[in-house]
Amino acid sequence: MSEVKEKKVLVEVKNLKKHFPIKSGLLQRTTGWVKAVDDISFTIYQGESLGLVGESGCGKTTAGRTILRLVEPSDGSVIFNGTDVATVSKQDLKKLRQEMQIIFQDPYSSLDPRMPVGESIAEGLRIHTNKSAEERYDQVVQMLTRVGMRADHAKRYPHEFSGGQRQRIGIARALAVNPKFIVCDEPVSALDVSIQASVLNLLEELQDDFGLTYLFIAHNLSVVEHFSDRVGVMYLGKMAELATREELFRNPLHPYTQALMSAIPIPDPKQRKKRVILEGDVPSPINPPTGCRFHTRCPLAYDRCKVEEPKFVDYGDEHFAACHLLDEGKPSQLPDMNK
Amino acid sequence: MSVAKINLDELNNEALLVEEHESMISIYWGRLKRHRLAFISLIVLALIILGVAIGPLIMGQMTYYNVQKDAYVNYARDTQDLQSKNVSPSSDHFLGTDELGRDVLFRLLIAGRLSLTISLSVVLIQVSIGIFLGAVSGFYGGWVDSLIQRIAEFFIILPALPLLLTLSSILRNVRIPGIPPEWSQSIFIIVILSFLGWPGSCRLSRGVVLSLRNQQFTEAAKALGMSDLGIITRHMIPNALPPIIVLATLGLGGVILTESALSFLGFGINPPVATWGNMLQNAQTDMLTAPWKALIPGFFILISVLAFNYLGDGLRDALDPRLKL
Amino acid sequence: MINYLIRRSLQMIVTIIFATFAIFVILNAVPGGPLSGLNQTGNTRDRLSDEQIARIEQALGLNKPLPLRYLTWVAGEDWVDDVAAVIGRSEAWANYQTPRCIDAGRTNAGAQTDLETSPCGRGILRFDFGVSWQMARGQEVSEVIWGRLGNTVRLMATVSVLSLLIALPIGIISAVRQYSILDYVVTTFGFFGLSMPVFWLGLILIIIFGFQFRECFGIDACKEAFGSLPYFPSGGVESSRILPGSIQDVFGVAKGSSFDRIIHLTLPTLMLTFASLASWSRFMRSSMLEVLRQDYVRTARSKGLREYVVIVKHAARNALIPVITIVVFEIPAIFSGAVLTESVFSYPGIGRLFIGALGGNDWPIVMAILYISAILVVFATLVGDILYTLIDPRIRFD
Ligand SMILES: Nc1ncnc2c1ncn2[C@@H]1O[C@H](COP(=O)(O)OP(=O)(O)OP(=O)(O)O)[C@@H](O)[C@H]1O
Ligand code: SF4
Ligand SMILES: [Mg+2]
Repeated sequence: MSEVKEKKVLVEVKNLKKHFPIKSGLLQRTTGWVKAVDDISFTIYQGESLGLVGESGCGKTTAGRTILRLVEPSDGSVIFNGTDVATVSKQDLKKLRQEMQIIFQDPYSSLDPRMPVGESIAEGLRIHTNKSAEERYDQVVQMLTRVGMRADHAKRYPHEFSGGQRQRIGIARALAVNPKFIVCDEPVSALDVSIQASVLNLLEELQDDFGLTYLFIAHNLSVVEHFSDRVGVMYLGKMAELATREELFRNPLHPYTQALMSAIPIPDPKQRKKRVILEGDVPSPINPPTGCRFHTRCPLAYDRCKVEEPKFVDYGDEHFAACHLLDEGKPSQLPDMNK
Repeated sequence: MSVAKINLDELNNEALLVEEHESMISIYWGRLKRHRLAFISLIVLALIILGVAIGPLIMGQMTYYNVQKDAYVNYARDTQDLQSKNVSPSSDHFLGTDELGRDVLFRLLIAGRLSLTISLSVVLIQVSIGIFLGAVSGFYGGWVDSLIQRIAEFFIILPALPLLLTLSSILRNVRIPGIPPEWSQSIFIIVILSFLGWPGSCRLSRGVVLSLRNQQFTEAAKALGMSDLGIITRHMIPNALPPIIVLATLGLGGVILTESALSFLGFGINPPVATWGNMLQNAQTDMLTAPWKALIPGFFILISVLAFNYLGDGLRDALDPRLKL
Repeated sequence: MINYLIRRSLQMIVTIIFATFAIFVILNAVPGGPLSGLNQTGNTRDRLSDEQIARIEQALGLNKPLPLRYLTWVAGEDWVDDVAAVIGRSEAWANYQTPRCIDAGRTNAGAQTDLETSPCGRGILRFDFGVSWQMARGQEVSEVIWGRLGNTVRLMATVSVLSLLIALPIGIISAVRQYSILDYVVTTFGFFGLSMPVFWLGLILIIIFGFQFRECFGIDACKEAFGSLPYFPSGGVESSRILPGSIQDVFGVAKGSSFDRIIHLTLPTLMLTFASLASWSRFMRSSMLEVLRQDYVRTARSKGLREYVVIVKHAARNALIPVITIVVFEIPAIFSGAVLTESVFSYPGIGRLFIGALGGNDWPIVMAILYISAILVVFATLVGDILYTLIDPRIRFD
């Protein structure tokens, strides 16, 4: 794990929102909004790996895509190295794209099935450099070997590879343009457990070698526990909690984080753990609950939670959380259902 | 757990499926050849096309004894011989003659030219319209998409054959001035069939564009800074083309069938111009005395449509990128 | 669900309105006017002079403005003077009804219940399609159609039932025994069915079962022994006289009896059934293959249920769902087939009426049949859609 020494901010996300319109009828009038990401703020420091965790559908992917401006943000800003990605001009955005890349969740749809993988990897070089075909090929081979593949793989098509290999190819493609910042959108959750570790190791090595900064998205805490320097927890388009990894696992403040944590399987069966079971499903982001979005499922919810939205506040040492109980200085620990 | 070791295992176990790398075209070709019926169909179609293209040229130079004229004359589409109507196959007329004493083989070949040309034109036009509208529909979405889809649905819902018959019956007596009447008839048929046939490819290409838009590789290209045009030309079109090629191949057969039905009923291309369909028109009256008139053109329709269908089927398998063979 | 039904029905109505509009526009787009063909028909006896045509044009109100003609075609003309009076345009609209209607005092009063004698058109929405111009000159179109409908319905119903009865088992068996010889035969047969010009098949059936049977395939021994094989009639709905050696003769079937009609129906049914059989058995086969791959079938098997039970109880039932809905969608396509079949077999049904009307420029009949088939198609689509959504739990009504 890379030690974060001087803390230089690389990405600063401020009040970022992404609302997808719901259209219906022949005239395609907007009849509502999916509030996939609804006002989130956080910073990512140079060289660190920030984990982003939350249940399926809570807006993690959308957050990642909006930060990279693969979809237009509805509101807010993303300052990358001093430039606001959200408002930057098209030309400048194209240049910025070299610096920020993404690795996708699904290794099957992330590579063009009708393009040799070498071409896919070279695509970024084609766009951003004037390199000749041979130079591009050389670099493709270099990238391929760097991610643990062979040079002769460049001419093959995606269907000739396994999921893990495709994920490596996707990594090589992102790496080829020499980025500073990579959004890893659940890069291992579609892979077999045996292969997950090797891909994670690869990502870690690359981070050290190239001084990369990651926004690492995952849907449960067990992956980020070993991979991230700091961890953010999302619930229904909002940030619930954000802290360093050690702090978060030692002292989870938000009830939702505690619930997530109790779901991590423990290798040692003798070690007992607090058990919390959340009731009900995640509500729809179309009409999210008022007040605290978690109140429909939170065992500690009280009247204030239904009407007022808790603020995302620093409770010391950059341990952010959004819960009224903390605001009022009351204990926010969930009861253990084992008892 | 060492990284290097796992990599090696994974590579050895899973990567060596294809040792020799082949180009995509040769992969496709190899797969098509393995689909025996599709490959045979390809050969049959090549023979038919070759036959109708050069057959009339050769026969046009050859002569036969025309009883009515009492002379040796060249084979021709419209040359009658009222002294030898409905004669059975002979050395002068390999496939016999029709009710006006015209050579059936020569008419058959000439008819094939027209039937295949019409079918090819119709498919080209309807697929172009369909691809364009479908791509626009899928790419822009919103009300444009709704409108185009409603129109396509409407066209699909329309009762096809009755409508085709009505349209061509209305245009039956219309001539485009300045061109031979047979051409103007064919042009009308082409226009009508294309006009009613585009929704299939429209829906297909819309579906393809929509699914491609949600594929992560187009998003990856965007993340790399590729322009919309680049994404369309480098990723969307190469991926959208194969299913459309399959649809078009199957469509070629379909159009031959429809055109022949129209012509058979007397609402397509009218004699003396010959198509496979209208050659069957009068076959009915002489079914007993000259059954070959009914059997042969129908047989050619069947064979070419069958070949297009098998070829389409084979192409569907051959062009599937996900298929490992 | 209710919402969905209402929305789909509204859509259906809109579609039908568009269809009537399209039909009307198409037929009035005939170069030279809808009557232009009447003086060109091949048969001189039926050919009309230009004067006659002008008179008809007037009598039918074809010289009225197009929008009004469309309205009266759809909704009838018995309301025109009432509406004119209400909006104070009685004078201007005085001649907007057809002379026939004006002569009758502009109303259908007294004749309201009797379509035949109602002088003012009631519009296609009320199933008044006007009067035939050519095929049965002067007769009500609805009557002409009604007279032929039975024949077509009999043909289509027989074909649908027969096709289903054969296609479903074939599809199931060939899916269960995928890659067997039977499967191979079925798929090949399916390809032939898709590629075969149906009307040609009809011609071949006539050649074989009509002429060649009668001629004993030209085999002398056969002729000497039997004279002829029991041959089928080559067309029509019933015999006007029983031909010696025909199938009716051999089995002693009286002319015009229902057996006689069934015999006449046999070849057309064979021809149409072949066409739909091919595609329906393909549907059934692929649907069944799909289901057999599902987990619950494997589970059922692993529980040790007998293969027959697995296939019939679990797989076939589920596989049938999509097939039935597709079949509902497809039923109108049989009508297209009927047009061809009826032409080949000179079978006096709607299809042949349609061809005749097109040939004779009898547009009221053409428009009526187009309209009815549009309604049929739209209705079948709706029913298919509803069935599909009812049955498939994955589809939500939004
Ligand atoms: N293009 C879009 N249009 C409309 N709604 C969208 C779009 N993309 C995402 N959404 C909606 O936004 C919400 C958040 O989706 P998102 O993919 O960001 O979730 P996620 O946290 O990444 O989930 P997962 O773990 O399943 O990947 C979901 O309700 C989703 O349906
Ligand atoms: S604010 Fe209320 S509902 Fe939300 S987490 Fe805190 S206690 Fe639970
Ligand atoms: Mg996601």
